[in-house]
Amino acid sequence: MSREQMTAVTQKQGQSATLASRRYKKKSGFVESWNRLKTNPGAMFGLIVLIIMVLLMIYSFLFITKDDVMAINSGNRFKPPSAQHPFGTDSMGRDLFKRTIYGTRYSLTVGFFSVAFGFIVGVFFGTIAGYFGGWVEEIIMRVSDVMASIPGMLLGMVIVAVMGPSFLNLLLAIGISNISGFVRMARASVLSVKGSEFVEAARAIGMSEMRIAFSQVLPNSLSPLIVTATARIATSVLAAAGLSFIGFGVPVPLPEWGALISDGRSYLSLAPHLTLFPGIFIMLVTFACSLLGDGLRDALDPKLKQ
Amino acid sequence: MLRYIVKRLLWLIPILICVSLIIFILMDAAPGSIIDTMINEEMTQEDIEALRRQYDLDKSVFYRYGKYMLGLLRGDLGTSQISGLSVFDLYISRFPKTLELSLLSLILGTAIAIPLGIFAAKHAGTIWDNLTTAFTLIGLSMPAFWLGLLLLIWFANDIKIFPAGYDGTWKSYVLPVIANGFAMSASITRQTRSAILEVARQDYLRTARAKGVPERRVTIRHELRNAWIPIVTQIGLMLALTMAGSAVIEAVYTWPGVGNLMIEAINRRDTTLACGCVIMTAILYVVMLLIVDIIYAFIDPRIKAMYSAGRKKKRGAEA
Repeated sequence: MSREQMTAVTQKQGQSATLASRRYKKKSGFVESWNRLKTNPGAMFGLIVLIIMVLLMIYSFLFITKDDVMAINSGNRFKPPSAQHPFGTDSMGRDLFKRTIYGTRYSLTVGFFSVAFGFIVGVFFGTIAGYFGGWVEEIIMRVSDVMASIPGMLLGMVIVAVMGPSFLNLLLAIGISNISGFVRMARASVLSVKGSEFVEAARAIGMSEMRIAFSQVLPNSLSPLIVTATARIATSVLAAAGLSFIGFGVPVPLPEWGALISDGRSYLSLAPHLTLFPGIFIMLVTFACSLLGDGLRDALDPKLKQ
Repeated sequence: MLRYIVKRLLWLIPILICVSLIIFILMDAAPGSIIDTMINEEMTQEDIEALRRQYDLDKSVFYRYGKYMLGLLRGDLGTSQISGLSVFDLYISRFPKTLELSLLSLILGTAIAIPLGIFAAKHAGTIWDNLTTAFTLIGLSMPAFWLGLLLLIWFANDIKIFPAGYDGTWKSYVLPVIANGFAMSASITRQTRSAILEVARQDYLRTARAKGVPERRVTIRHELRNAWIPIVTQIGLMLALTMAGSAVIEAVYTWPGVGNLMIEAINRRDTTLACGCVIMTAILYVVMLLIVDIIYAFIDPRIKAMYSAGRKKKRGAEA
């Protein structure tokens, strides 16, 4: 046996060994991934930041009323950060800390639900396209191509121009622009597992094709989709903030972060804190999502990291 | 190669039609119509009907779309409802400023990103790599418009070295280009790093090193050349995205580009102008993505080969 053949053989053995161990790990896939994720300091930091954000959001729902963040107090304008007002006050004398905390509900929900919307619609059609192929695939992929050809920012502006600025329209606009990415990814990952033996097995026991696609093939191609979804939350939060900043998102005077920054823009030299703090919150959320996304990628697919 | 380009160009047509049709229908559905501002109380019902006919409002949206697109081919997108100027001319007059800003940002972003990406890949797993990753993550998570405002606070308000808005001098380019370029550099750096790592373990690199090729040459001639495709794709995509999303950064610096034109148009309910800007930008975006595809067919002989007849089968047999 030549050296090359030997290496080929050992490689093969190695592969089947990893395959075997992976199959074994499959039983506790979630726990395994979680254990790997736990060792990643960046991902843990991201997760903790996100948990804190969610807690802040819950706090704001429970303890901060709309009056708290909207009431005008003209005697209290442009106060710099202090113990009483940690982030200072804005041009109407409103407490910026409360307004920023109140704003978590917009950014977090836009981030989460626009991705969830894109995920559900995109993965549904992507799975069908990848699994069934043929003209179904052709139609779905061409429609997805067209959707991918409309930049999200532009679509957001159009939707707002037509339907007016509102939270729901913002969510819809970003959600729609999230679809095509998931269609492609779902299709690609379905294609990569479609030929597996467990699909044959499922067919042999008489499962319907639709059921195989969604109960056998899809769960086995989920990990790249989850990674993408996490990263997508970051970009969606950014897009929402950007649209609100130019006045095409959550309408003022509601304290969405982008809108808060836009509000602070008129007083850059007088009260820079108005711009600074909401921006830090946007950055923290997107940073946390990116870190978590990176960590999940490594945890769900350890092959990539080696 | 020619076949590939022709094929891609042909595919461009249905995409462009679909994209512009979707946008046109959406804009057409906007409340209020172009004649609303022209109607006054002295007009009779017949006058209004005549006006409706004049603007084809009695016909289907597809008819109006067809007429609109034919107009586009002649460089006629109607006139702005507010200023009365030609929409096409307005767009063309603002376009160079958006292009300048995007290209300069891209140059800055790429100039930072490629060396940094290579550096990170060469030191993969070390503290340098982690620092670069942290830098790119910050770049990706920092909203460009926020960075733009911070730069304004520091450099235009505190130490007044750069102007706060566009004033025609080179100085007014500095801050927007940095704000825009930083975000771009982050994603290009990430792409460069992973592309270089992807090819890092190839045999031909070992061969080149074994031959005694200096490391710098190995990196540039062998590694980078083979890692080019995803990097170029990313660069092209960033350029397309920046131009399409230029509104936000242009709003920060009151930049006289297309983005601000679009915002003004939408805010003033100047539907003709808004529709023209959006459709032109969308077309531009699609064309730029196509150009990226064609460029990467040029730099990758494998893709070129895939599309020249005859060789395709041979490749299949090898695989």
